[in-house]
Amino acid sequence: MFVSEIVSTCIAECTEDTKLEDVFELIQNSHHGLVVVVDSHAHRVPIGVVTERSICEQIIARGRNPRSLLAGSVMDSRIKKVLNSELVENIAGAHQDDVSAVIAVDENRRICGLVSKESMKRAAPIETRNYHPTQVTKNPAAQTRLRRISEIPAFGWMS
Amino acid sequence: MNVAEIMTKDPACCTPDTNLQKVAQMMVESDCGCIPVVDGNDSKMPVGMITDRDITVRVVAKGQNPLELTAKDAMTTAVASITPDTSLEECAKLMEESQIRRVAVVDKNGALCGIVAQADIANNAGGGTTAEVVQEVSKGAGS
Repeated sequence: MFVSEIVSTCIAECTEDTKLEDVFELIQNSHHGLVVVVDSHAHRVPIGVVTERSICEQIIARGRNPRSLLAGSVMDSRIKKVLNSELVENIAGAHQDDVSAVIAVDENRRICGLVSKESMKRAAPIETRNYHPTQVTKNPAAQTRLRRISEIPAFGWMS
Repeated sequence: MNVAEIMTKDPACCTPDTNLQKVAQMMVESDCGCIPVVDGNDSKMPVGMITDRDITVRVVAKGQNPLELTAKDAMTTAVASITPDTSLEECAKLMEESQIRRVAVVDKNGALCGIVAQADIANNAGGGTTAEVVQEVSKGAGS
């Protein structure tokens, strides 16, 4: 299964100079609790995210006035970019603790969508959800999958 | 396995009168996105949950000044609770049925003693349970 098959394309975008008031509107209607910040609406290269978490941490907890701020001032740049054409198995560790969002991009680094933890869990093969080496190696389908993974030279992450 | 083995014990909590700025600071200090709201610091009976999304959507996005409001202005008042000896399967079932991502754990006196998140289930339950919880809870916008 490819990343493009599990990616959520229903995402909100803004740029660094978008007013936070507008970001709030976008995030309110977002199912993912975040807005992706892109370099420009023309190029659409993701450079960070504004999350509900970052709003609480950067604005509310510090007692700042959100009306005077732009998206860039609270943007969280801890994103992981993965290729839309990558196999899901190869990005299994993408949601690390220090990563706020995993974003799928095309070969031109333009945003394609968001890869959520939930979609990763749903896409994970049953045998790897509850991994047991003996069970996996006895399963012909799993053996095929393992061969396919081993044929891939390297991870396709781009950070 | 029961929830006592996987829950976050004695989580940071606030009361309905806690200032939202303080709530946000507690989220930062605890590195979490949800703070249980209890009726008082002594009885610690859960009366609500407040998340970073609650603060963002119910307060900030509506143009209200979060520095002038308290937890009761943004919290979700419906709180599902379980006891520490509840099994993971029962906990997962409750999350699915209630479409929630976190459950308060209370002791025999009804006082908050822990919290179980969807991620805790995902990290500790068997594969089937994990996938079911994630899939079912993800259908809705649970808090």
